[in-house]
Amino acid sequence: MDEAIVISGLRKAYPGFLLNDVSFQLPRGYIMGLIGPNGAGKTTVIKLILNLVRREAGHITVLGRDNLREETWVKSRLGFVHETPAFYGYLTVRQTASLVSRFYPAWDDARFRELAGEFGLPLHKRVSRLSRGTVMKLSLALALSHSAEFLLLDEPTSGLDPVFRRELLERLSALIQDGRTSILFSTHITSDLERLADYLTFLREGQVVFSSSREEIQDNWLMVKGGNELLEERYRPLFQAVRSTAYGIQALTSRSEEARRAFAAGQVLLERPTLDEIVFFLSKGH
Amino acid sequence: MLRILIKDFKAVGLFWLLGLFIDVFFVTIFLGSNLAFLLAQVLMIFLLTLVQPAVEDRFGLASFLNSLPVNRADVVKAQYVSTGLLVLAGLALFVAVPSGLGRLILSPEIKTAALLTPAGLLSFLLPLILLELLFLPLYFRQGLGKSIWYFLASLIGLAVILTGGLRIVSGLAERPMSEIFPVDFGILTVPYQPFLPLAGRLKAALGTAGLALVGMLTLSGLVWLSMSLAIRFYKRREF
Repeated sequence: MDEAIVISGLRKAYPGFLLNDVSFQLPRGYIMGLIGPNGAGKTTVIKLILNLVRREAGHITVLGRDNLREETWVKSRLGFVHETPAFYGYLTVRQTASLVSRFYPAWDDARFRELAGEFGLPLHKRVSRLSRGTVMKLSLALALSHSAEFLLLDEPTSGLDPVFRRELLERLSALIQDGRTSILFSTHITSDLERLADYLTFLREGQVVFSSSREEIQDNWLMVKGGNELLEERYRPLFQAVRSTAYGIQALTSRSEEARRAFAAGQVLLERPTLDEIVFFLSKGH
Repeated sequence: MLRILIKDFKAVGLFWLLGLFIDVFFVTIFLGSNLAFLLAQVLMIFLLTLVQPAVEDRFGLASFLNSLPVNRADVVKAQYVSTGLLVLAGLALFVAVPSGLGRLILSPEIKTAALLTPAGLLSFLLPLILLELLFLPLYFRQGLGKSIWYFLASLIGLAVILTGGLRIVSGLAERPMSEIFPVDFGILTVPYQPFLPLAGRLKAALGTAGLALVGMLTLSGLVWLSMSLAIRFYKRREF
């Protein structure tokens, strides 16, 4: 299958943090959500793709090309939104777009104006006078105005009101319908991903916990709820994360078939976990 | 690289023009003393080249600018070219102000002839170029904030080395320092006066053309070295 991005064996160390052996891939025409708690390494992965930080090991290919050897080619086909977008504050929205347009051969000014209208961007207002949400909208409009084949969005919905957030997710979903545009989307708002992502990669403490399609996650992951007898040694290997309360325990497993066989009906409650529960348990469970 | 230059001009060109305008009306007040005018002009143009890094630093644009489809080496080269253009603009003002504008604004009696000789022009260009060549690699390695501190520390270090070197030469040659590096009140009107004996000896040894050639080669080598270091440093920078 034609891949939008292939990451293999990525490693980057900071004092007190290690991103280690991160590998995943995303086929063209799909959306991947990059999830994980704060400090898991999501932004570092995005910075490594953009070559904003130097990797210590591993490879990244975007649209079939090495992101370092063919950096300019890759970036010209890539739309990005940073977690905290920054622009020349004293320039207007119009001037900012004009500045950015020079760097993209496929820049479509009509498309930018159309998006600016849809997003309610005031073209003649200075960027420094825009709210955080509107700056994020500007960043999105810039990313979407040069026919990018791969969108790299770092927390794009943060700071956006719920109505626009929903509209944006619908727009992103519509974008991939052409079969050539792909999106890598980091967020900690898991409800966004349940609506949008075809693939999910979960990072924790700099390591990939899982990277698979949403269907696989729905099929494989199971929440087991029952009494304290679930803590018995023979059941332990089944669980990825366990939380116990005064009333019993909840355990998360990715081996749903084995779990269904192991527990008799009525003995425990088996539920399909929400993405939010998976993230919570894998981040906080024991 | 041209795209980056155009971007820089569109983003901060107004500040540059404003700076040059202020330069004309501010630096002219030093025209009474050629040395003060020279130093003020060097400082003003140097500060003007800091405008673009300062704006990018103020708005935290490093991640944004480096996410655009540009080669980091081109970013460095564009910075050297824009710095070079500002130095040339500074040189144009350095010539224009004493020869015309300054006399018009101040007094026609002001004696600025020493500034408008080849030695006078070199005494403006060389220190400015050397300052830029020292500063830019530091900037691309450390960013604006840290680089200014490192830069000041480097200047103090160089001053210590140069004065120490002069003392050693003076001791070895058994001649007073004032003979090797003659500084008196004449420096106020002829700022390059202390370098005249050295320049005279070099000219006698190499000839005018030889001296110019050696000077050009040395300067080109320094530009190449500074830019290579800056590119190397910037490629290793993380944002």
